[in-house]
Amino acid sequence: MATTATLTLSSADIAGDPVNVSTTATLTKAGGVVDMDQFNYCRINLGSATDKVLIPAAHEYSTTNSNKLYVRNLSETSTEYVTLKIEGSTGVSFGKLYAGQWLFMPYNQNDAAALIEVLPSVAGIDIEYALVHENVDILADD
Amino acid sequence: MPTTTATIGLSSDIGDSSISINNTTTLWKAASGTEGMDSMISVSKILQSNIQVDLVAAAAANSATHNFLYIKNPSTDPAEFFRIALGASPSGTTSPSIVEELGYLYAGDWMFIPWSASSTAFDVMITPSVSTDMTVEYMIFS
Repeated sequence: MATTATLTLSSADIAGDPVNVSTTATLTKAGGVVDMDQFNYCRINLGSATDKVLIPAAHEYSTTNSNKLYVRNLSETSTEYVTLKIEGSTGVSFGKLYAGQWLFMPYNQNDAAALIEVLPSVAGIDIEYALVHENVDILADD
Repeated sequence: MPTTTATIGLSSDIGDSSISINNTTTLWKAASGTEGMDSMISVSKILQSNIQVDLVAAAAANSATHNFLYIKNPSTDPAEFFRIALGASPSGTTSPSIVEELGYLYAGDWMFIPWSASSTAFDVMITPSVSTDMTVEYMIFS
Protein backbone atom coordinates (compact mmCIF):
# COMPACT_ATOMS: atom_id res chain seq x y z
CA MET A 1 0.00 0.00 0.00
CA ALA A 2 1.81 3.10 -1.16
CA THR A 3 1.06 6.68 -1.96
CA THR A 4 3.51 8.72 -4.00
CA ALA A 5 3.76 12.42 -4.74
CA THR A 6 5.73 13.57 -7.75
CA LEU A 7 6.71 17.16 -8.46
CA THR A 8 8.03 18.44 -11.77
CA LEU A 9 9.24 22.02 -12.06
CA SER A 10 10.10 23.11 -15.56
CA SER A 11 11.12 26.32 -17.24
CA ALA A 12 12.83 26.87 -20.56
CA ASP A 13 13.59 30.52 -19.99
CA ILE A 14 13.70 31.59 -16.32
CA ALA A 15 17.48 31.15 -16.41
CA GLY A 16 20.16 31.06 -19.08
CA ASP A 17 19.75 27.31 -19.33
CA PRO A 18 16.55 25.29 -18.98
CA VAL A 19 15.53 24.37 -15.45
CA ASN A 20 14.04 20.96 -14.77
CA VAL A 21 13.48 19.48 -11.33
CA SER A 22 11.69 16.20 -10.80
CA THR A 23 11.29 14.38 -7.51
CA THR A 24 9.06 11.66 -6.12
CA ALA A 25 8.29 11.03 -2.47
CA THR A 26 6.72 7.90 -1.09
CA LEU A 27 4.45 9.12 1.67
CA THR A 28 5.13 7.36 4.94
CA LYS A 29 3.94 7.68 8.50
CA ALA A 30 6.15 9.37 11.05
CA GLY A 31 9.40 7.47 11.24
CA GLY A 32 9.67 7.19 7.48
CA VAL A 33 9.14 3.43 7.17
CA VAL A 34 5.44 2.51 7.22
CA ASP A 35 3.29 3.67 4.29
CA MET A 36 0.43 6.07 4.84
CA ASP A 37 -2.91 4.28 4.88
CA GLN A 38 -5.63 6.96 4.90
CA PHE A 39 -6.68 9.36 2.13
CA ASN A 40 -9.41 12.01 2.13
CA TYR A 41 -10.42 13.95 -0.98
CA CYS A 42 -13.02 16.73 -1.28
CA ARG A 43 -14.19 19.31 -3.79
CA ILE A 44 -16.05 22.22 -2.19
CA ASN A 45 -17.59 25.54 -3.15
CA LEU A 46 -16.61 28.51 -0.98
CA GLY A 47 -19.97 30.22 -1.04
CA SER A 48 -18.99 33.45 0.66
CA ALA A 49 -15.83 35.52 0.94
CA THR A 50 -15.28 34.75 4.60
CA ASP A 51 -12.90 32.48 6.47
CA LYS A 52 -13.74 28.79 6.13
CA VAL A 53 -12.28 25.99 8.19
CA LEU A 54 -10.86 23.47 5.79
CA ILE A 55 -9.45 21.12 8.41
CA PRO A 56 -10.57 21.46 12.02
CA ALA A 57 -8.03 21.44 14.79
CA ALA A 58 -7.49 19.34 17.86
CA HIS A 59 -8.27 15.90 16.49
CA GLU A 60 -5.59 13.51 17.59
CA TYR A 61 -3.05 16.07 16.61
CA SER A 62 0.51 15.12 17.16
CA THR A 63 3.85 16.81 17.04
CA THR A 64 5.24 14.11 14.82
CA ASN A 65 2.51 13.23 12.35
CA SER A 66 3.63 13.04 8.75
CA ASN A 67 0.31 14.10 7.16
CA LYS A 68 0.43 15.77 3.74
CA LEU A 69 -2.07 18.32 2.45
CA TYR A 70 -2.85 19.16 -1.18
CA VAL A 71 -5.06 22.15 -2.07
CA ARG A 72 -5.92 23.54 -5.51
CA ASN A 73 -7.86 26.65 -6.53
CA LEU A 74 -10.16 25.52 -9.34
CA SER A 75 -11.07 29.05 -10.48
CA GLU A 76 -10.28 30.00 -14.07
CA THR A 77 -10.33 33.77 -13.38
CA SER A 78 -6.75 34.96 -12.94
CA THR A 79 -7.56 37.58 -10.30
CA GLU A 80 -9.41 35.15 -8.02
CA TYR A 81 -7.38 33.71 -5.19
CA VAL A 82 -7.68 31.77 -1.96
CA THR A 83 -5.63 32.80 1.07
CA LEU A 84 -4.32 29.90 3.13
CA LYS A 85 -4.09 30.27 6.90
CA ILE A 86 -2.84 28.06 9.66
CA GLU A 87 -4.29 28.49 13.13
CA GLY A 88 -7.05 30.82 11.98
CA SER A 89 -7.28 34.55 12.54
CA THR A 90 -4.59 34.60 15.19
CA GLY A 91 -2.18 32.53 13.16
CA VAL A 92 -0.32 32.94 9.91
CA SER A 93 -1.71 33.71 6.46
CA PHE A 94 1.15 32.12 4.63
CA GLY A 95 0.21 32.43 0.98
CA LYS A 96 -2.32 32.79 -1.81
CA LEU A 97 -3.35 30.33 -4.48
CA TYR A 98 -4.44 32.09 -7.65
CA ALA A 99 -6.54 30.43 -10.34
CA GLY A 100 -5.33 26.93 -11.11
CA GLN A 101 -2.51 26.99 -8.58
CA TRP A 102 -1.94 24.26 -6.01
CA LEU A 103 0.11 23.53 -2.91
CA PHE A 104 1.46 20.39 -1.30
CA MET A 105 2.78 20.61 2.25
CA PRO A 106 3.38 18.66 5.45
CA TYR A 107 0.73 19.22 8.09
CA ASN A 108 1.25 17.71 11.51
CA GLN A 109 -1.44 19.69 13.37
CA ASN A 110 1.12 20.30 16.05
CA ASP A 111 -1.10 21.95 18.63
CA ALA A 112 -4.73 22.17 19.61
CA ALA A 113 -5.38 25.26 17.50
CA ALA A 114 -3.54 24.32 14.33
CA LEU A 115 -6.52 24.26 12.01
CA ILE A 116 -6.27 25.11 8.30
CA GLU A 117 -8.49 27.92 7.03
CA VAL A 118 -9.13 29.28 3.55
CA LEU A 119 -10.33 32.77 2.68
CA PRO A 120 -11.58 33.22 -0.90
CA SER A 121 -11.13 36.63 -2.55
CA VAL A 122 -14.69 36.43 -3.88
CA ALA A 123 -17.68 34.24 -3.13
CA GLY A 124 -18.16 31.06 -5.11
CA ILE A 125 -14.62 29.82 -5.72
CA ASP A 126 -14.33 26.04 -6.01
CA ILE A 127 -11.34 24.32 -4.46
CA GLU A 128 -10.28 20.72 -4.13
CA TYR A 129 -8.13 19.28 -1.41
CA ALA A 130 -6.69 15.97 -0.38
CA LEU A 131 -5.24 14.94 2.94
CA VAL A 132 -3.05 11.87 3.19
CA HIS A 133 -2.90 11.17 6.89
CA GLU A 134 -2.16 8.68 9.60
CA ASN A 135 -4.61 9.55 12.36
CA VAL A 136 -8.01 7.93 12.43
CA ASP A 137 -10.21 10.91 13.21
CA ILE A 138 -8.24 13.94 12.12
CA LEU A 139 -11.27 15.02 10.10
CA ALA A 140 -13.88 14.31 12.76
CA ASP A 141 -16.48 16.98 13.50
CA ASP A 142 -16.05 19.38 16.39
CA MET B 1 8.41 36.81 -20.05
CA PRO B 2 9.56 33.51 -18.53
CA THR B 3 7.17 30.62 -18.17
CA THR B 4 7.60 28.13 -15.34
CA THR B 5 5.26 25.23 -14.71
CA ALA B 6 4.77 23.08 -11.65
CA THR B 7 3.15 19.68 -12.04
CA ILE B 8 2.00 17.40 -9.26
CA GLY B 9 1.17 13.73 -9.57
CA LEU B 10 -0.44 12.20 -6.51
CA SER B 11 -1.04 8.49 -6.82
CA SER B 12 -2.33 6.03 -4.25
CA ASP B 13 -3.56 2.50 -3.87
CA ILE B 14 -4.88 3.16 -0.36
CA GLY B 15 -8.46 2.71 -1.52
CA ASP B 16 -10.07 -0.29 -3.13
CA SER B 17 -9.69 1.57 -6.42
CA SER B 18 -6.57 3.51 -7.28
CA ILE B 19 -6.54 7.26 -6.74
CA SER B 20 -4.71 9.63 -9.02
CA ILE B 21 -4.48 13.43 -9.06
CA ASN B 22 -2.49 15.21 -11.75
CA ASN B 23 -2.37 18.96 -12.22
CA THR B 24 -0.10 21.52 -13.81
CA THR B 25 -0.03 25.18 -12.95
CA THR B 26 1.90 28.04 -14.47
CA LEU B 27 3.65 30.23 -11.92
CA TRP B 28 2.14 33.63 -12.68
CA LYS B 29 2.82 36.75 -10.71
CA ALA B 30 0.03 37.85 -8.38
CA ALA B 31 -3.33 38.32 -10.11
CA SER B 32 -1.69 38.29 -13.52
CA GLY B 33 -2.52 35.23 -15.54
CA THR B 34 -0.19 36.47 -18.27
CA GLU B 35 3.03 37.59 -16.56
CA GLY B 36 5.19 34.70 -15.44
CA MET B 37 7.37 34.71 -12.36
CA ASP B 38 10.81 35.82 -13.51
CA SER B 39 13.07 35.28 -10.52
CA MET B 40 14.44 32.02 -9.13
CA ILE B 41 16.71 31.22 -6.20
CA SER B 42 18.04 27.67 -5.88
CA VAL B 43 20.04 26.63 -2.83
CA SER B 44 21.46 23.49 -1.26
CA LYS B 45 22.62 23.82 2.35
CA ILE B 46 24.24 21.52 4.88
CA LEU B 47 22.97 22.02 8.42
CA GLN B 48 25.42 20.95 11.08
CA SER B 49 23.37 21.19 14.24
CA ASN B 50 19.84 20.40 15.34
CA ILE B 51 19.19 24.00 16.35
CA GLN B 52 16.31 25.80 14.70
CA VAL B 53 17.54 28.34 12.16
CA ASP B 54 16.13 30.68 9.56
CA LEU B 55 16.21 28.78 6.30
CA VAL B 56 14.88 31.71 4.32
CA ALA B 57 14.26 35.18 5.67
CA ALA B 58 11.17 36.88 4.30
CA ALA B 59 13.40 39.69 3.07
CA ALA B 60 15.13 37.24 0.74
CA ALA B 61 12.03 36.83 -1.39
CA ASN B 62 11.72 39.08 -4.40
CA SER B 63 8.01 39.65 -3.84
CA ALA B 64 6.31 40.70 -0.62
CA THR B 65 3.02 39.25 -1.79
CA HIS B 66 3.36 36.13 -3.91
CA ASN B 67 6.18 33.63 -4.19
CA PHE B 68 6.35 29.87 -4.49
CA LEU B 69 8.63 27.93 -2.19
CA TYR B 70 9.95 24.40 -2.75
CA ILE B 71 11.79 22.54 0.01
CA LYS B 72 13.12 18.99 -0.08
CA ASN B 73 14.75 16.70 2.45
CA PRO B 74 17.09 14.61 0.26
CA SER B 75 18.17 12.32 3.11
CA THR B 76 17.88 8.60 2.52
CA ASP B 77 17.80 7.78 6.24
CA PRO B 78 14.12 7.30 7.11
CA ALA B 79 14.71 8.49 10.67
CA GLU B 80 15.99 11.91 9.58
CA PHE B 81 13.48 14.72 9.25
CA PHE B 82 13.13 18.47 9.23
CA ARG B 83 10.55 20.47 11.16
CA ILE B 84 9.30 23.34 9.03
CA ALA B 85 7.75 26.42 10.64
CA LEU B 86 6.84 30.00 9.82
CA GLY B 87 7.70 32.73 12.28
CA ALA B 88 9.55 35.83 13.27
CA SER B 89 12.90 34.37 14.22
CA PRO B 90 14.49 31.13 15.31
CA SER B 91 14.95 30.48 18.98
CA GLY B 92 18.62 29.62 18.74
CA THR B 93 18.17 26.73 21.14
CA THR B 94 17.38 23.08 20.83
CA SER B 95 13.86 23.83 22.03
CA PRO B 96 12.51 25.74 19.04
CA SER B 97 10.20 28.69 19.63
CA ILE B 98 7.69 27.77 16.98
CA VAL B 99 5.29 30.43 15.83
CA GLU B 100 3.37 28.20 13.45
CA GLU B 101 4.71 24.79 12.61
CA LEU B 102 3.58 23.42 9.27
CA GLY B 103 4.89 19.92 9.64
CA TYR B 104 7.67 17.40 9.20
CA LEU B 105 9.58 16.55 6.05
CA TYR B 106 10.90 13.01 6.36
CA ALA B 107 13.60 11.56 4.11
CA GLY B 108 12.69 12.15 0.48
CA ASP B 109 9.69 14.36 1.29
CA TRP B 110 9.15 17.66 -0.49
CA MET B 111 6.76 20.60 -0.19
CA PHE B 112 5.63 23.31 -2.59
CA ILE B 113 3.63 26.21 -1.20
CA PRO B 114 2.69 29.79 -2.01
CA TRP B 115 4.59 32.10 0.31
CA SER B 116 3.54 35.66 1.06
CA ALA B 117 6.80 36.75 2.71
CA SER B 118 5.09 40.02 3.57
CA SER B 119 6.90 40.65 6.84
CA THR B 120 9.58 39.30 9.13
CA ALA B 121 6.87 37.18 10.75
CA PHE B 122 6.99 34.98 7.66
CA ASP B 123 10.54 33.71 7.82
CA VAL B 124 10.79 30.02 6.98
CA MET B 125 12.44 28.22 9.87
CA ILE B 126 13.89 24.74 9.89
CA THR B 127 14.97 22.34 12.61
CA PRO B 128 17.00 19.25 11.66
CA SER B 129 16.33 16.10 13.65
CA VAL B 130 20.02 15.34 14.03
CA SER B 131 23.17 17.38 14.38
CA THR B 132 25.19 15.32 11.94
CA ASP B 133 25.22 17.05 8.57
CA MET B 134 21.76 17.15 7.01
CA THR B 135 21.32 18.62 3.56
CA VAL B 136 18.27 20.68 2.65
CA GLU B 137 17.38 21.93 -0.79
CA TYR B 138 15.09 24.83 -1.53
CA MET B 139 13.97 27.03 -4.41
CA ILE B 140 12.05 30.29 -4.44
CA PHE B 141 10.14 31.52 -7.47
CA SER B 142 9.00 35.14 -7.52
